[in-house]
Amino acid sequence: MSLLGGNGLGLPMAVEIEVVDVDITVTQSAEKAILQTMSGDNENHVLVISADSGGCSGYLYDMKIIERPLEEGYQEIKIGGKSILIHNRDSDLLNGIILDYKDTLMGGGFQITNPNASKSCGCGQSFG
Amino acid sequence: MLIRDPRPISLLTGDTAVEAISKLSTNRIVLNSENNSDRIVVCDSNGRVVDAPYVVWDENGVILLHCTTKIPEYLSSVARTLSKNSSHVMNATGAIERFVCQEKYLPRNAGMSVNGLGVSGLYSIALNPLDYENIHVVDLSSDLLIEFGGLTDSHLNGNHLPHHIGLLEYVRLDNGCYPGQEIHARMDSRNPSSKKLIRINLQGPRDIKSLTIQGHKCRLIPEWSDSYAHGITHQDLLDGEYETEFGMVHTATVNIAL
Repeated sequence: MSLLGGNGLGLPMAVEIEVVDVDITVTQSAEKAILQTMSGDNENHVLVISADSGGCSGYLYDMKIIERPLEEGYQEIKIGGKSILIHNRDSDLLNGIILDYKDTLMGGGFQITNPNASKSCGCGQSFG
Repeated sequence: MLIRDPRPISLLTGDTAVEAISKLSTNRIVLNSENNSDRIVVCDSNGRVVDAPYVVWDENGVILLHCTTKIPEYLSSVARTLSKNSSHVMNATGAIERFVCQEKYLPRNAGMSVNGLGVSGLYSIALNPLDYENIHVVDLSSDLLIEFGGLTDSHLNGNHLPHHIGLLEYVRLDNGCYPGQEIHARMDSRNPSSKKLIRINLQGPRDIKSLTIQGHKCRLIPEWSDSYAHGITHQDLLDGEYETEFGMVHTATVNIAL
């Protein structure tokens, strides 16, 4: 049984976000890594880059390969025939990022440099 | 006596709510199977506590029982994250009745209760009790919160580590990256905390910042009720009555700050 009665619930917290046209830079090594990682995937699979609340510095990057979401609200960037999606609600946080890939055993993998970040975490996964 | 707790309550809707709030907290939410509840601690980037809400799972979403007197600011970034999945942060303060009481006076048929809190672990939180018509009800004030061993805005102003205000058990460093995690990890490896939160009863001056009790320095949190204040001192100090430079003081450990 729910603790919430039928009355007294407030309206959803308003979130005002400036939606901008996203422009990102993908380095050659990152493009190669994306194509390699997604080589076995069908055309319906996309790479989604997002910024969620959390992490040491306030926001946490997330990258995942998923089936193309049904919902609207994503901006699409084509890289070597593969699709990168960024949600409109992340557009102001992720516009201008440089996506790189470092092939090292320690601290390797995809790296994001973000011009919108005033601070970032040592591991590179969080920014604020 | 029942004490009605007016502090804000939020509802987070959607499948990603637990994940979204866990990424901001010192611990990952693991809902207790007995009453579907847990507690999280949210800190700033310096590892200082800004809120320590109880988390209750409800069929409508995740309910946060905040310890602050205003809706905390970190919820706006949670709302932003949730909004990508058509989920929301809603103010549920008016939709749930929240009470604090001594455990022995806990109303039967409470929708949910958490016990063993506050000074000496004597206090409980009860939500939506059904049968309290004949029980005297008063509103919770900061004076009562201090008396019971609760967190006031003076505890949650970004000046106190969870280790010092009765919240250490909610710092679990296996949760990965969260605001303040580097500070807590460094403390854990280099300087394990030996402090605890106590309530003191002192019939002396109210403008002191610290006092020494049985050789242990006690740093006071600068908010007094009529008779009580909270202090941070060494965990070896036993509850009791002691002579200090400011007169006799009675100390009681705050088990888990409510």
